[in-house]
Formats: sequence, structure tokens, C-alpha cells
Amino acid sequence: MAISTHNQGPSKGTLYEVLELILDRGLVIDAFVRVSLLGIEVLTIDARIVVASIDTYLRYAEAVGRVNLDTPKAGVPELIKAHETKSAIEGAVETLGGQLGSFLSQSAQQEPAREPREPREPKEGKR
Amino acid sequence: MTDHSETSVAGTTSVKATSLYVYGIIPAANAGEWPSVAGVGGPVASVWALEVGELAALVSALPPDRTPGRREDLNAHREVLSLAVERGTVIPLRFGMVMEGEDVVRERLLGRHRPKLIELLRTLDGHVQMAVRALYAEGALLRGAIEGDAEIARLSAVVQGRSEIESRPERIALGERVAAAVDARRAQDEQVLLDQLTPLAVDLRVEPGGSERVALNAQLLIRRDRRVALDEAVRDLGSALDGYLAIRYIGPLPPYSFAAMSLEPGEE
Repeated sequence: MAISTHNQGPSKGTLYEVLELILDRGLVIDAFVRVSLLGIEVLTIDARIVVASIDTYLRYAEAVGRVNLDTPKAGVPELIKAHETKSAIEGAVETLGGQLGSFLSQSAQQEPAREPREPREPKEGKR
Repeated sequence: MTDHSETSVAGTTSVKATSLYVYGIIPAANAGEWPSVAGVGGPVASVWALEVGELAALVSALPPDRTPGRREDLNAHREVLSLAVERGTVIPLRFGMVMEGEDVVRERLLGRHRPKLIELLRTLDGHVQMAVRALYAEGALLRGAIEGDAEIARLSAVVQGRSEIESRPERIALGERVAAAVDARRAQDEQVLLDQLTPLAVDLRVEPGGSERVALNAQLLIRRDRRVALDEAVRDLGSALDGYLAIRYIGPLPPYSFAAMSLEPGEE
């Protein structure tokens, strides 16, 4: 939907999307590491918030899409093989939804907590 | 470790203006006319290539009062290495490598580790890293996981309309089954995505997703001449999975994930 990137090539990615690579991969010589951990910690906390925000955007985008569009039911294998989708399942899933939500403990409980948070865009302005 | 950051600046009086921030290592053959871009420490810290034989280290002078760790430092590190990977092969160093002067870079990095560095450059030659991350659309994983599961449907019907106390065992059983179905579904989706991507990659690292919504978080090492094929494969996946999974496709990146090794510092 609006958020999907399948029409474009690869993107450069945000700083947050590559933060782990920069901080935790690459060649290292321990004796020569000199970083301000305080700064890094602030950044990684930021990163978690922003990653959560991206999830939130995706969730909103999906929620909006669901109003007008068919809810996809197939998983990756089915979609890739372009199998027929089974519409009979949908009704059953919808009625189950309310009950099941509470059992998917983490996603169900974390999401409302994250929603009010202002999505913080990475400030990547050039110096 | 936490106190380290302070002592390296305040406690060590020997920190000189000659401290060099080190970004990565490139073949000396590609070092010519390295553009003088700003590095960690701002415009005063212009990046240059310190050559020793067939190797060159990308470095910039680090102001003595500067301990890297700010957002702009991370961005500078990233920008320099992205420029390097645009220009050719690079071994990216982890963020925060600072060496005291040119001699230290010459001897304890390029000299001491020359064979290993040359070998790694050879391995990485002609390759870039691409990241593919797949995120479930809201509710998609759950729906996908439970559809067609008769036992889940049965338990859910049993639970429906009954109080939490009287249907407690069924609720637990239902929850367990759903959790297992979700795990299985995610693993299956990850595998199918990997089946599509793996043939295009020379090497591949699957990283933890870090979120319930992540179906796949993969780092691929690919030949530069396979980029078009990978772009197409990812685009096709994106189209096929639209509404179920959203794909983030990032790159070309310096091969951070494929240069993740630790070298001996050597004696003082």
C-alpha cells in the first residue's frame, strides 16, 4: 500500500536502519575503540522509538487500506505461487479476532502503548 | 566500560591533535584522488587516504576534545563509507576506531594485519551489502497463522462468551496454540523469503528481527553485477506480498556484516 516500496529500487535507509551495522559490525580492533557511550545510548534509545514508529506508520497505512481493500489471507508461499485465496476463512478469522487479540500478548499489549508516541523522524540534516 | 568515554578525553593527557579517526580500508589503487569530504569532527576534519603498499586507510584528524558518539559522528562515518563503497571495495571499520597518529595506523593496522586485510579485500572485491527487511502488515501474521486451524477455531468458540475464570484452561490452551502457530508461520515465511533471495547472494546473514512485526531481517553480500537481478527479485516479492508484508530494501552498503571480525591490537 502507500508505504510499500516495491515500485522503487533500494533506498539509502535512515541512520536508524543502519545503526546496528555501524555500531556492531565491521572490522574492530578493540584497543582502539574510543566512543562516547552516553551519546550512543541516547541514539540507540531513539532508534528503538523510531523503529517502533515505522511499525506504527505501517500499521496505520494498513488500517487505512483495510477500509477499502480486501484483506489478504494468504501467506508468503501462497502469494508467491499465486495460489487461489480462500475467502471462506475470512469470516471465521474476523469473528475470532477479538478473542485472539488478547492472547497475542506482546503485540496486543505493546501496540496501544506505542501509539500515542510522536513518531520522531531521524534528524539527518546536514551540518 | 561506561567510564571509558570520559577518561579517554579528560584522563589521558597524551591525546594529541594527531589522533586519527579510521573509517575503513581500501586498496591503495583506488585511493588516488580521494575526495576531501568532511569526516567525524566536522568540516575541519577532512578525510584522506593513508597509503602503505597496496593498502590505504581512510582517516581524518580527530579534534583532541572530541569523543565520537554524536548523531553527526555516526552520519559522517556512514557517509564516508558509503562514498567508499560507491568508488570501489572497502573494509568498513566499526564506528569509533581512533588511533594515535599516522605511525600507529601504518604499523598496527596496515602493517601488522596486511595479509588478513589483503585477503579480506580480495574476498569483498566486486561485492556490496544489501539489506532486506520484511515487516508484517497489521494483523497479517496472526490471520495467516490461525487460518484453517480447526483446533484454534474450536477453542475460540469454547472460550467465547464465557468468563475468563471459567474458561481459563481453554484460554491458556488457545493462547499456546496461537503462539505456536504464529512462530511456525513466521519461520515458514522467513524460509520462503530466504529461498527467493539466497540464490542471488554470495553470502547471507539473518539477523534477529527486533520486533514481532519482522518476518525477515537479512543482510546479503552480492556481486555488483547481480544488483539488477536482486532489485527485480525484491520488487517482485514486494508486489506479490503487498498487503501482507512490506519490504524495506536498503543499499548498497559497505559490507559491514561481512567484515565483522576482531583483529589483535598487538603489543604496545
